[in-house]
Amino acid sequence: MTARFLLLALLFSFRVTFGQSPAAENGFQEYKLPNGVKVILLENFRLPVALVGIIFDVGSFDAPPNKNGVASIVAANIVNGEMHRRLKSLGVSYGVNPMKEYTEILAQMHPRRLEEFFAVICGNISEISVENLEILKKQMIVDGKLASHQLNHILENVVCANVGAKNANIAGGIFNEKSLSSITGDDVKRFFADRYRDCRLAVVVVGAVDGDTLKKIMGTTLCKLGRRKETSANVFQNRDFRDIHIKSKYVDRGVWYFYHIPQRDSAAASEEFLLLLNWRLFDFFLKHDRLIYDYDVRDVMNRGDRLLSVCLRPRMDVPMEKLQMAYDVFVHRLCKVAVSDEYLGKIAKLGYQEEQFARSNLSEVYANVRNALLNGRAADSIWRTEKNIENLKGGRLKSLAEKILGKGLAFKITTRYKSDK
Amino acid sequence: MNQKQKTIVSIVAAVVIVGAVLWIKGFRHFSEPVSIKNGLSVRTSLIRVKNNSVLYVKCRFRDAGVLQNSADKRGISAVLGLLMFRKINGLSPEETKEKLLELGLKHFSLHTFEDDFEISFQCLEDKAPEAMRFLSAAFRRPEFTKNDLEFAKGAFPNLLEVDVSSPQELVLEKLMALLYPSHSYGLSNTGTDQAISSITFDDVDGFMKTHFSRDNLEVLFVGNVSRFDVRRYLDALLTELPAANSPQPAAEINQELSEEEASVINKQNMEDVVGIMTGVRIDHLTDAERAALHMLIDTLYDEKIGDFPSGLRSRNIANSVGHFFLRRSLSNVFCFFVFVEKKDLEKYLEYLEEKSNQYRGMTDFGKLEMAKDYFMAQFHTGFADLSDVEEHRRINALPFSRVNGRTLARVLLKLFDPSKTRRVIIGNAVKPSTRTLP
Repeated sequence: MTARFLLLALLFSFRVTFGQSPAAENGFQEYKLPNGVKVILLENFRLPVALVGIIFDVGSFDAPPNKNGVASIVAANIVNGEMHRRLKSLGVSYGVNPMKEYTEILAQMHPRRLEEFFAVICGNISEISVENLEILKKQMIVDGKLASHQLNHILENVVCANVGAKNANIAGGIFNEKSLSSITGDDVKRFFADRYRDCRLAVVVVGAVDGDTLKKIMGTTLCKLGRRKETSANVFQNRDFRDIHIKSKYVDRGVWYFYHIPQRDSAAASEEFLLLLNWRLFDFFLKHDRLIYDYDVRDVMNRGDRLLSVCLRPRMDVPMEKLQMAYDVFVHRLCKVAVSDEYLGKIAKLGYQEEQFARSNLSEVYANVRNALLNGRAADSIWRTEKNIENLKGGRLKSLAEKILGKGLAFKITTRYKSDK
Repeated sequence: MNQKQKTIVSIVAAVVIVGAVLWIKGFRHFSEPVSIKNGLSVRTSLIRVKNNSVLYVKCRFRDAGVLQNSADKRGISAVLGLLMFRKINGLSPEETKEKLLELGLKHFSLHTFEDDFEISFQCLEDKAPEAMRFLSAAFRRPEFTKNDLEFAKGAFPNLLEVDVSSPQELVLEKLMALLYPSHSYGLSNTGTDQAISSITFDDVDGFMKTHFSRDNLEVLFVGNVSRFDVRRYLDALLTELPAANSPQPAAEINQELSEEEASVINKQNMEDVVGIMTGVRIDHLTDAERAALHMLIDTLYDEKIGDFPSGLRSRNIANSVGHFFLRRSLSNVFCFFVFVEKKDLEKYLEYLEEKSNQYRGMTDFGKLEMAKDYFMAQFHTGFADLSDVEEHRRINALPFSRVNGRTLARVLLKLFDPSKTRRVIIGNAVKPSTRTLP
């Protein structure tokens, strides 16, 4: 009897121990600390890893006039040598990414290192020490010269110049020898003190961390930072663009179409529109794979009005005009095609499938949350729901497609190869 | 048997049952041959990740990558890569891609530019059996016509043009030629215009028959699946793949490097920036030496802590710096590259020489303890993406705790061995340097 009881107890305990899976994702936990720092957590116990992003709503677009490049210098110094040594000894892999609209410290670590990580970061985030400024500036100049071989870099500068033609802040994305040489250590410290300490700071954590533990860690680390102001970001709002043609020595050639989505439409249905565009472009790519070597769709800018780019790269033996004609037909059809409920159903199905893949990749979840934040959307909006699809019925997606693709073409950049006419 | 003995026997039996259930359910990771239909077996690894609805699969055909292509057909693996999943089961390319989407197959990637021919993809677990059955036709025999072959070859001018315009690619190609003269490792990874255009339908067909068999295949699964699931998937995916085709073994590596120690490439549009790439060839490494190499590279070349001539510490010489490690089946290469202003070139080379001499004779490894801590601290973490899990586990499985001063000293000698080092400089009208190699 005792033996049977023991056996049953053992099997029961096995069922209790192994029959249950660890806590699955339960949606996002979003809250604000008393000092205004926004915290977003998605629990995911799939792998013993925590992905942490510390996002400052300040980027190279925010540089003061004639001080272009100062945000990149801040990013290079935001983690100093001593912090770096401490983070490495904790087994933290991290990078600091200076972007046009934001700056992020993106780190991966074992969840049990989280508290020490935040302690190291918070102990140093309040001020910045500028190390090796002159060398760093020279290095940025060397990098800039090297980038003359990377068309993407050139395009980025051209886009900034175009978008920023009537917006000095956005033109701040471009740095050169002249602007860098005028930056002093005081400029860097002042820019950091003015903007980074009072910016809209957010912390996004995705991974094997439970909400209570994170709240406790926040209480002893980030909560101790000074109160942060709610600032209004410089938004990009410009409809006065111009087409650009580059004929150059660069081998990469293609057409970049930039679409403008006004702020009022950005949050609502643009994700579904992006899905539609991606999906139909995929079809386009299949039908024209003898014309196109490569293509991609991406968000160029998020803040305020949204700017999307579609890039098409023709195969070497294909004249550019032929590709552009095919794309014009594609856009025309996409604008005119009736968006039936059946079609929407297909988008929904594809969307849910995409979502399952995204959930398996913590980096993708993190990037989606960060972009939602920058767009002023709730983190939850990255998951697709029945409601999204319902909202698009009755021709709403079609009208959005017409608006964005038909009338919303902001500008076009064409780069031609030396042998093109 | 008294009551006490019965109790003990019952407990033992219960433990055995629990152990068996755990084993059957595949709670442990494994890496071993798995028998599939027809009594054949496939070398298989499984890394189990719970609470996950996506399965990551990687199929690696050993010695079928570009590095094992002959010089006159260089690029045949890459051409085959473009054709392999273009048309499946009699469907057109468009229908095939639609079907792949419908079956929840995503992140399809073919990596053919190294020793092996690697196919990886992710699929939704609930659709996995159907997806594997669909893909099995492509594994058995890719469907392509002569027209399809011409289509695939037509994609290469884009790739080749990128190679000849990028300073990094140009120096790397030259460096490999110096490190591996008259061996496949010394040839271009992309292929050449001439070789690609000479590839015929029969060449690709013959290459498939020789290199694609279950005998030179390894399969990796990462996901929430059991040992039973793995066998089911292998049965669906590979049953129709031929068995032994006697794949040709990789060509043996020759020991000699080129007599030319350093080379210069002239590139007019480099303005006043000069690139220097140094490569050291390391043919053999034990696991402990590999761990030591990770530690050395991670510490010496770290921009903020290493004082090797990189990053911000190089005596006021601004540079853009990088390093990478090529892990190949027959030999390894560590490459270190910097871009400096032309006026600083000689100053930089002098500094490089001085530092290399200093490191070659290094005996105090106190600083490296931090790198050891770093790798040890990372020991149990996984990466955020399923496709990274295998690489992460591979590095973490290295015996970092066993690395001692002697191992480090031995690896340092290999890392700074002048007889195994070659250098290439690229720039506008640059003269060869008189400086010796580190």
